[in-house]
Amino acid sequence: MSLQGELRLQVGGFVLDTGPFTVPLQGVTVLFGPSGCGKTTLLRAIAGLEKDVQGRLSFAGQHWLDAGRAVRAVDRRVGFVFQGAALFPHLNVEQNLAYAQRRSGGTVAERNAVVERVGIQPLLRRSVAQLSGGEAQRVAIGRALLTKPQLLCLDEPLSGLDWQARDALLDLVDELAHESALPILYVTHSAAEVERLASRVAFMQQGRIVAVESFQHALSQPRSPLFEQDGPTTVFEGHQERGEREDLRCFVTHSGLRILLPPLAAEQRGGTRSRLRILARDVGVALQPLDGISIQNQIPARIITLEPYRFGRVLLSLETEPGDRLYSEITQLSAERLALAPGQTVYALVKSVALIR
Amino acid sequence: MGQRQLGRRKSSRRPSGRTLALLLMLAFSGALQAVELKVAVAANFAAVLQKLVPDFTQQTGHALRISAASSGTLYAQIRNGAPFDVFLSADLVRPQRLIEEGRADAEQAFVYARGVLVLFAPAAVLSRSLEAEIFDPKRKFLAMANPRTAPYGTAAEQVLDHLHARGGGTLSAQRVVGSSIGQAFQYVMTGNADMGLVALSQVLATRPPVSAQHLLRIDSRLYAPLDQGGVIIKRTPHPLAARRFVAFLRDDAIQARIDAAGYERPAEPVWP
Amino acid sequence: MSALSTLDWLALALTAQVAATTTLALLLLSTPLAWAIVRMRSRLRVVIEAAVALPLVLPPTVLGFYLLILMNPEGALTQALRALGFDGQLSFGFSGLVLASVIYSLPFAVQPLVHAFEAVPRNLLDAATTLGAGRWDRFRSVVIPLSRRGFLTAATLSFAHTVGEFGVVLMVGGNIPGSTQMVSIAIYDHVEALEYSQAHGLSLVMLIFAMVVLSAVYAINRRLVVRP
Repeated sequence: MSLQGELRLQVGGFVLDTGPFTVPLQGVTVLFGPSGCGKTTLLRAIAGLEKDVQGRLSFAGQHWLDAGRAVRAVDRRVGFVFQGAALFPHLNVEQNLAYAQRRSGGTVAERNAVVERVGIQPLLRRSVAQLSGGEAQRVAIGRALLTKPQLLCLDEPLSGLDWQARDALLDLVDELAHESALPILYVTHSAAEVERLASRVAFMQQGRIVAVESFQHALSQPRSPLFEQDGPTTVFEGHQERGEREDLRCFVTHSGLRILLPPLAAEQRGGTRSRLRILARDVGVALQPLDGISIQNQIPARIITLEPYRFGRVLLSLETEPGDRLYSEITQLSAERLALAPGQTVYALVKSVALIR
Repeated sequence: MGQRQLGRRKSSRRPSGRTLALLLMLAFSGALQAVELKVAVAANFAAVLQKLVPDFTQQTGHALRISAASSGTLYAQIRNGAPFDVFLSADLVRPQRLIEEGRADAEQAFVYARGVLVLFAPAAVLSRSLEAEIFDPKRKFLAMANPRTAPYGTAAEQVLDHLHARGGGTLSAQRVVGSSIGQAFQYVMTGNADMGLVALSQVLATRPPVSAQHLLRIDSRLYAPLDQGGVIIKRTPHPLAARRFVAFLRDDAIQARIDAAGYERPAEPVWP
Repeated sequence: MSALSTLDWLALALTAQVAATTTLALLLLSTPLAWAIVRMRSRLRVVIEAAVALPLVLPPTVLGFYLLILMNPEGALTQALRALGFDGQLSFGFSGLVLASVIYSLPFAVQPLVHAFEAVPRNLLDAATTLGAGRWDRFRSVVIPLSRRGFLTAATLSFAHTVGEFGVVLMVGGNIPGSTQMVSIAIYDHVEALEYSQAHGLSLVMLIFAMVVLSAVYAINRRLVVRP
């Protein structure tokens, strides 16, 4: 079950030429790349919204585009959430939902279920103009779900929203991805959204799909485009447990590594979050455990690689437990003074963590 | 203001050395120096006049610039200071008005043509009497100019009134009224009206030429003469050239050519 | 209003009838035309837009002259209509007045619709597509409701322009009192014949009528604005 193809399209001066690609239809696939690289155009082409697309495209064995014959957008059953929501201003929230439900032959009961699911019950009678950005996107997601889609496309759904609305919507998308088998294509240029949602990442550059990688594989590349803004980042997957003390919680990675959580982070979403993000620049190293220091998470680890990074800094790739990687970014000077070398055992000092899922 | 100036000039007119000298100068300048006369002409006569321009220029050396419009429009323009030298109207009313208002000289008023009304049916052969043709129940529309606003319309109405009074029948066709004789002619020429009471000059100007069998000339006793009068505008800077132009128009050879274009030679002018 | 004759009232009734019929015909004709113009990507669009605007360029009496040629009872158009069961003549009749008014007022109906259709955000149409709406469905359920004000403007301008037109209906109608004489021509005739009291009376009735219709339209328009 995959989405495969090779699409070519010229829109004005811009050329989309993806090259051959295969995307498994499971979980959230993030189309990631800088602004203007063609993410949105690709998403629209997949949904059938662009005319004159050349090449081929098949979805789970259905030929959507083949030898110049294209399945109409209406018949592809792709749910699409637009940047800015694109709700119909002449209809209220309920009518917007009914628009989709009637055309997909759904029942009112199904509609009520979706309303419940995306949490827009109180908004039904509102006019679209009275919605906040976050509310509008919630309605737009509900509306897209009511088309009974076989694929859900989201085009930068968070742009223009404040951080609270972003957070809540990311939770919604994440939950949808986990609850149902509905595959999701998600366009963004924000690495934080990738780290939060992605099962895999399709990297795009100048109209081309450069690589489709699993999320963990993408994270293991120190020079991944994901790291351009915040630098290399480690994302652990695992679960939360009660710590040694009643008021403390810790995060246990799949490989068994325990990381003490600051109280605030632990409170988020009742302790159910399962992804932990650590920026490389928030991780220092020491040659032995340190007393008399505020940093509580001091993790023994082995240096796997040590390579010069940007601005006179060195990036350490550390193995904490077999199979786990933790990035640490330190200065060239520190690396020389401590005489660090691959194979050496050090203590990783984690200054800050963020639970992102 | 213009009235007062004209009045003063009139009162101070007496033979004097200065006037003589001026006249001589004008005479010489007229003979020696070609001028351009601006003639305001009623639309129905414009095409005819255009054809006479080369002859006038050849005879006098003067050029003519022709402005064609409806007589009413030209009259209003002259009243408002339009720089015309000669006005050729489609009727006698407007020239008369200009004379009364002191904008034109009565002595120099003249009738340059008399219009001829015809029944014209481009798709029929008019072999019967006027009554038989015009009252023919098969005819659907009779085009004519608006009797309230156009001289040819007035004439057409007079003809119909005469025919009705004679008891020759009643008009079964519907009257369609053009705001000008030009519009009435267009109704007929485009085939929308099957007959029309129009000007002979219009029919004769049509290319390719219209066969005479589609025409019925209307007895001129059935309508008041369609005399077209002209005047020289007093303010003209070229009075001598303007007089030459009037003399040119009244010349026998030229009058013959005007007749051939679909007009009649006017008798003594009948001023209203 | 005692100054108004039966013929004057007939002229008023005829004008209202012609204007209403013309407005209806124009909306039916201009809607697909304006939509086609908006969707057109080729250079042909420029040509078609220019052609629609042409009635603005030609003086009304000149346009009327060409319409007369078009409406020749032996001409192709009348013959074609006869094949469809139309008997009679276009010129000097009601159908001719409506046809002429439709052509003359075409830009006044098409241009507001083009602007309204163009203002419909593209992504709303795309959204409708992904929600399962086909071409006609999108037009009916998104474009038309979002273009209500454009339709209102088009209808108002078509109606007002038809009521007020003079040159074309004078040419095509033939000024037959009680049959093709519209109010504007009746007023003109009164003025030309120095029947000023009748001219004033008729003008007053026409102005009051237009004022009532236009006020009603603009009241509706305001309501449309308030409702997003």
